[in-house]
Amino acid sequence: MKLAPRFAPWARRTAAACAALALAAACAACGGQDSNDAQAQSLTIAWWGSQGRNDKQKQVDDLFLQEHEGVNIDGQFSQYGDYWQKLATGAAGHQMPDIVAMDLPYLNQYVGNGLIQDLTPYIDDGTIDVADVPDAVLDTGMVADGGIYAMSSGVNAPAVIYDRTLLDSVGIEVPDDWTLDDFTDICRQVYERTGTKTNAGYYRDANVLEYLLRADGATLYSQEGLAVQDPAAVEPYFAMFQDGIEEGWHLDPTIFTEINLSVMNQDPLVSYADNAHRSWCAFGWSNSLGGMQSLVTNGDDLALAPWPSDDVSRSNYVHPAQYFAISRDCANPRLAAQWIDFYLNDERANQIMGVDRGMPANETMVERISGDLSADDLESIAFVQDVVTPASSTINPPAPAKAVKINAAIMPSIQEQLLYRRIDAAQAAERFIDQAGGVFNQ
Amino acid sequence: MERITTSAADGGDARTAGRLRAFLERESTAGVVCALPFIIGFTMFLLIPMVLSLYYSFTDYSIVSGPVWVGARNYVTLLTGDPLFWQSLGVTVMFALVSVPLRLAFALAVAMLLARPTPLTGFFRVAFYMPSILGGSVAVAVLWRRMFAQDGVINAVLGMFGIESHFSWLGSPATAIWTLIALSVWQFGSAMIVFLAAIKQIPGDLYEAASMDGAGAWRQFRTITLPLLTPTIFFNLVMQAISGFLAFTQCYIITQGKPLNSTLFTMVYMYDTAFTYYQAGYASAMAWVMLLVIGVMTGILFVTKRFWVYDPDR
Repeated sequence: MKLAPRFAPWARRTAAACAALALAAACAACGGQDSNDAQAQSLTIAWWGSQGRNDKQKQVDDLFLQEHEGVNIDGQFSQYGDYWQKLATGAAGHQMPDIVAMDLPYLNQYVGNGLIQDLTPYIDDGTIDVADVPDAVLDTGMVADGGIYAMSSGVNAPAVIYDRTLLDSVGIEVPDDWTLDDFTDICRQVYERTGTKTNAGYYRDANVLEYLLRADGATLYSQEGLAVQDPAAVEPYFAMFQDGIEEGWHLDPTIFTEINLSVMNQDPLVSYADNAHRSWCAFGWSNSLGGMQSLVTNGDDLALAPWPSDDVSRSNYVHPAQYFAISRDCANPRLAAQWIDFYLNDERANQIMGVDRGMPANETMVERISGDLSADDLESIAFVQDVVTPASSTINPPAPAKAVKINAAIMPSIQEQLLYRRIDAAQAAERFIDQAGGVFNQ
Repeated sequence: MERITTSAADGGDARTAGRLRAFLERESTAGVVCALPFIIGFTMFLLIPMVLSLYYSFTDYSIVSGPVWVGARNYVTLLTGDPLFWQSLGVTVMFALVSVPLRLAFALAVAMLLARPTPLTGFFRVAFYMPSILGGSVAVAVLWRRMFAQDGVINAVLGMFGIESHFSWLGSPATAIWTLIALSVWQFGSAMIVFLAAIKQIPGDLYEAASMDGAGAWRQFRTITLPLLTPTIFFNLVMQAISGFLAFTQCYIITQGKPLNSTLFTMVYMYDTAFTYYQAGYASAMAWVMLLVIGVMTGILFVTKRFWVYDPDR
């Protein structure tokens, strides 16, 4: 006995025909992968940044296209955190964009797994002209095997971006050389006299801690793990948060649950006018000055100071703002190299970008474009050239790959527990050593 | 000699063609072909990824590098050395335990109201279903965050009733999870539709007989509607509980687990582990433990079934 209804013959034949068609379509799709000329002449470029950066980048790309007819550029930008998620999945699927932005914490990982190409051949044959790029800047893209895998798009420096108008109004001056105690003193004074609170780099990575450790010649990471073992060494940093919340001058942690800190226009320095939410400063990088200033609504002038440290000149460093690298999946690396060269050495491109990705890596450009730059961009360049460069030390080697979890989860979470007053600074220091060390055993 | 070979070949061709024809005309061929879209989809998007993730769960796999076999290490770390996983599991279980019954109660109540045909019933059904379509979206999640902000709509409405409030709903560990539960309960539409269909299946003469015996509306609901709906409630409970355990968007967009990880869903922790911390092997292990947890939970629900679900065959 048959339970299933019989298929009519036409239905069977239709089904068979459909199957044949589907197979044929699948085969055609597989065969369609042959790269033709049109495809080879396209460039996909991915980076992190804001809409403002995207607008500038688009103009640079258009200029490049005028010189390279028949080429097609697809620019893709995301927020910092999302960018690395997209890039990793692209790498796993062998579909990375042709040119990718790189950052120091990720450089070794991408080089080590063969995901980005050595630029040395293109530098040697002149495709990428580095004559005007200082060796110190060029070397930041060099890895252990001596190859240069990433080209710095420009340099910046750690900076406290602060509301100078507000501080002037109460007669407080921020020095170019200040200790952590000076910083907390100013926080207290600003709070007492104006009611404005402080965001002391809350819910952020371990960069500030690493900066403070450099004052004593210590590093946060060794090649393979956490270099710091003594909780006492990291406690002063956490004590700052504890003092801030106990004395009332640090912003309440609840306001950070309502904003997205990776978006510049939600930063407490610029996005609020009321004292419950507003901060007089932000821990960031020198190249953000122009962007931050453009978001200020009350007309206040922002200015730059180094991050505080017991020894600023030992702590401070010049830092590659963002790198460009050519990915393993790039079909036309020569064209990609030409684009990097254009970005680096074309005067118009430099005029457009200004210091958006840091002070231009090409030294001669700084002077040539200075006439076109905004006051904030000039201020940012002067900060790197006159304040940081004379009083700084060589940047630490990149952190081990697993440090990403410390920056993205462990450090923010400990700062959070401090500000919610679940733990004190001593416990925070112990937890940090314990949990950050544990990451490397996972 | 040559002729013989040729004719044998001819015969062979004819036989092959005949066999192909017979194969195409066979019923099982048509069945398989019709099922092919599912089979291909299932294999490519479910079976292969699952097998791969099972393999990855025994490796150290950073996505950007190749997987390296580490045996059961990921599982050992997960079960013995990762308090955050247990924290997130606790949050997820709490979220599911509270939001699913609330959502079902809501869905049933609204379905009862909409069961009676009136001129506007169609409109209301669509209107009440709407949140189910919108509620999982990023736009609503962003909206939700604004609503519960210190200067948001909720505090403004409280202010209208004379309760001046600058309370941070999202910033307080005690209340943040409830904003997510509220959003989840609001998405009661699909359960409501299923209830609505089941309510219409209940024979009218039961109610007729009951009202003749003097049973009021509440009693009718308790002794007729509710018992006859238990199979539907069970179905909804299982489906919604599973989706409760898999909740992701609300946490990912609205709270990111903040504050103090009080809203960190396991799915978000897993996602971050794989794609932010680049520990895809460890995240895969997490996924398999979650599968086990959900399996056990569903199993328990099925065991309780015979105590409270109406079964006409028994």
